[in-house]
Amino acid sequence: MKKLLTTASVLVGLTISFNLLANSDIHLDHADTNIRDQKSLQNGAQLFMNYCSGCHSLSFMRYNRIGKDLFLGDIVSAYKQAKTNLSNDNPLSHSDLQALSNAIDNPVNNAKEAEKMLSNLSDDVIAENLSKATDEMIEKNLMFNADKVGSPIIATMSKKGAEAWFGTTPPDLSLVARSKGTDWIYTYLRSFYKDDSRPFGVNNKVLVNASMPDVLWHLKQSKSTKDFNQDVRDITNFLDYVGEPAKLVRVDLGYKVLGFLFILFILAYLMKKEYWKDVKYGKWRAKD
Amino acid sequence: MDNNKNWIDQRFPLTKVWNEHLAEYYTPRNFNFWYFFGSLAMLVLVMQIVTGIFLTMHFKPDELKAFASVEYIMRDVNWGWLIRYLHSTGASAFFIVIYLHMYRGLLYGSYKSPRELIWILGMVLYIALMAEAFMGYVLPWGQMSYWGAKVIISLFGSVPLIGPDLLVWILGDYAVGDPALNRFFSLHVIALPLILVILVFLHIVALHTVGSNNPDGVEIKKNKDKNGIPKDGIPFHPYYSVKDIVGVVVFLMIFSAVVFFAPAMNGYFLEHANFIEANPLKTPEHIAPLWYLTPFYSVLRAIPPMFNSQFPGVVGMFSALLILLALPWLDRSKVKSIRYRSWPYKVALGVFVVSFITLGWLGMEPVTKTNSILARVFTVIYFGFFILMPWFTSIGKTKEVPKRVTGK
Repeated sequence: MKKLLTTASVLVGLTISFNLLANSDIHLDHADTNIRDQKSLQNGAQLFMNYCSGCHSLSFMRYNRIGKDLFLGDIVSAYKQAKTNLSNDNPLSHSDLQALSNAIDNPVNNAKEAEKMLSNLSDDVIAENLSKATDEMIEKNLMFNADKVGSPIIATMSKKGAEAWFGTTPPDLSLVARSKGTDWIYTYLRSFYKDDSRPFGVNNKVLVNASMPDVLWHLKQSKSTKDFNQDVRDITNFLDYVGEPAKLVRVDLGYKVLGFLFILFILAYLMKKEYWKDVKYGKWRAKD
Repeated sequence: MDNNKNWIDQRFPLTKVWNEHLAEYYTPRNFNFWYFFGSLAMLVLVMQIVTGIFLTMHFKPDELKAFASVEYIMRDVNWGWLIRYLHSTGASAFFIVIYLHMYRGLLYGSYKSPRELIWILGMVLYIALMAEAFMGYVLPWGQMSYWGAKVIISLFGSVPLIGPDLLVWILGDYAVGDPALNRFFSLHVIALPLILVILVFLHIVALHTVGSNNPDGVEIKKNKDKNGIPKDGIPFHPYYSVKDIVGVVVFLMIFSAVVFFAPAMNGYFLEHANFIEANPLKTPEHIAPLWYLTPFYSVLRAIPPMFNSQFPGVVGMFSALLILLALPWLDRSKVKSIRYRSWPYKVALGVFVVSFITLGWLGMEPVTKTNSILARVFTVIYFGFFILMPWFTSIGKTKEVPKRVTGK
């Protein structure tokens, strides 16, 4: 009991002096990400899968959700383009044929074949096939750690291994953009510097004595600073999306809701005015 | 139609209730902006209950699953993100609306005789709402949920003699954990909402018994025409029902702007640290409750420990809350409305508002030397407002109150 009391008072004391441990102010660069930039999100997803997903999980994110949100749009528009070419009797490129095969869910080699097979398919079936093609693309290009496209993104590295090699388990990054913010991620990934006293030979200005090695060093060395910054921005943008996938639809829906409410406001205001004519001029006017 | 109505009226006082509380409930005709917030509070309560029902369908009150189940709602449940944002924004909106509603009471003396009971029921509602919000905040089981709960509940451990046992009794364990999460869930979704709804009902019954106050603080029931209808009264329905609809739509516009464009409100409505799962081994650098509880949190921190105990701070915090109950008897002024009050009250009310907002701001900030001095000064001012009220409400010259409402 005494111990409990001490714990309680220590806790209260902690809250009173919590600022002692507060981070010193580190200047963070503005990430300047744009969640509407589909290309940036796609590049970010690819970079994340190649450079980060070995150690970091996104356990609240499913592979096929990424496909649906970030890649399905491209596959649908490629199909639409191919179909326009098909109906205008334009020559079909290799990618047009690929797009048509996606929609048909069978390989096609020429326009005639495609036309014939498409005419047998309803729009619903085509939509389903396109989404299936997206899943297949994700499986082929982005999925290294799982065998089902509906599974969450879990790091390959075992917990035990991580503790042995890094002294800690790399954190799950599903919500890192929400807890740390995009500016932090963008600055952190660009703030590694050489420090021979650290096990991996690098240290970080934002997160001092970070256990993480400078995973992106190869990118940094093989690209111009501008291109490297853009890559980091894309990863950051992708993590921002992963933190809240609903962000892709939330804002647009907000404008519609506000538009509806604005019209409702005008109607409600006119109705109020109409009723209150009584109060000012008639029945309910102050009686003496 | 009429037959049906008669059939019901013989068995249930439908027409009577409708008339008493809406169609023939006479309300002063001079309500202004400040009178929107009562009906808005009801709207938010209903919204919280409805969104809460859907959240409860998907949430798992389990130490190991709670955090992930909230993210499941945000990602995998159809429209789950919207329902959750409506609920989380609704919590903050509830307090904004309630604070403005209470401030209206202070402006126009709505707590004064004969409305003391309305005020007391309202204050109990406010306290129940704080408990409801606090327990709801624990449920997502993020770092701030966990450590906030730990700090607030440890306050009960500082009660002399029974403290430690009380703590274990509240938590059902020696630390914040699964039993606490489960009982908070139960209290948050059943016990407290039930109490809130009953209290709202009583609050309104009491209000409709004495009738509404108004910006002039004139009792409209003192001036009735030959039919017994107050001369300055208009039926609540349709006049105020249509007016409140306008208020509701404007409120919903502001509310939706937050829900769709800034649901986290940069950490004020959903804290950044709460997107990290609760970790009993990692104390966050900065623990602060959500903004609506911070004025009282500031009072807690402002009072230094005495005799090696935090208890005086706890007493201070609860006194800051409970002293509001005594308001109807502390106010000695003969007039109700700020429009006709003497200048000392106007000054005191202004200073009180500044101290309340400053305490709220300080409660979100880390403690520094300056901040603690400020918190102490404003805590003294906060209590001073109430303790000195019998004095400053009885001095100074009040303006003459008109016989009838002015319609301004």
